[in-house]
Amino acid sequence: MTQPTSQRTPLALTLLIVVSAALCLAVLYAIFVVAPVERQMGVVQKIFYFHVPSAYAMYIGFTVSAVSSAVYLAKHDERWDGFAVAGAEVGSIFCIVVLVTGPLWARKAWGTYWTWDPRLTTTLLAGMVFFAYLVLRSFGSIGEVEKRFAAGLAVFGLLDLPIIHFSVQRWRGTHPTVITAKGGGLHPDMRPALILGFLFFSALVALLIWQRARIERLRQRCEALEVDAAERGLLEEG
Amino acid sequence: MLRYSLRSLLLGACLLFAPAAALAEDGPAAPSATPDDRAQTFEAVTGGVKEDIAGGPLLLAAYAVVWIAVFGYVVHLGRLHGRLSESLQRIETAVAKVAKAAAKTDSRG
Repeated sequence: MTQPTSQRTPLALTLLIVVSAALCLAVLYAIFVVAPVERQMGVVQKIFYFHVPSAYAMYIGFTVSAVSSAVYLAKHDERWDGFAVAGAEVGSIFCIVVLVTGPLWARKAWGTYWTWDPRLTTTLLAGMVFFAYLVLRSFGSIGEVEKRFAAGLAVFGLLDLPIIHFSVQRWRGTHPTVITAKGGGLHPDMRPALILGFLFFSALVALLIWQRARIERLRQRCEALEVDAAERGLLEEG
Repeated sequence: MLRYSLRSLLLGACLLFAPAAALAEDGPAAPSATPDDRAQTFEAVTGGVKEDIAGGPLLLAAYAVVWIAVFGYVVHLGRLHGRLSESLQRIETAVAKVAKAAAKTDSRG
């Protein structure tokens, strides 16, 4: 049986999968073979090559969610709602990665898993806002009012992102500032691993958001068909 | 005599251990070991790596979390997609069946 056109995987999505797989192999090679061990922290510094790009992927996911929510509030177009859900879900996955890998690095660097540093606290806050969004959206078939409330929450969550970014500059905490304007930078041999890390996570976050948005469109289509069929009395028997 | 011997021993010990202490201060981590330097610069190691808290298990745990999270989510998406495709097909089949039966009834009437 052939799949309907809407369910077929677009060529660009297939290409993105191939590119992501190739970048994944390249970044692992760069991290574990090319990049040297850091002088003061040792091998645990290699967490940095996934931790920082994960934070960047989290920013992308949450921004997609907030911007799509704002457009949904303005236009009431279900496609934007699909992107908002996809962005929040994918952003939350990367937020979990950031909030777990960071403390594992901190155990070695600071001697403790967690400290209420401004950047850590504001990242946790952003995660909680978007987790709240996902909890709200997980209550089955929610109505228009709940969708709009959730969209408002996502837009509110966007306000926290610049605070996370500039927190290390405004309120000097303990979080490293290696790749910021104030930082001393990376050893030249460490740069390829970080650059490839950013490229890999960019491709991965785009891939996951795209695929999740397609699935959300499929769910919306199912729901619309069910409602339509029920209204016409076509599904009463089954 | 005893006092002279103790003084000589102390002086000898100082001369013997001072270079070792100075060398320890000049070890790989010493010149840029301030908290600010550690937070702003990552530098490559020279020579052997000696760690007080083992970084290997922490690194392994961090990478395991990344891969479990990403692959777990991909598997979740695959299952969700499969379930929704099945559901969509079921609804479309049911609607087509009922519509066909209705059309048959209309043509008879």
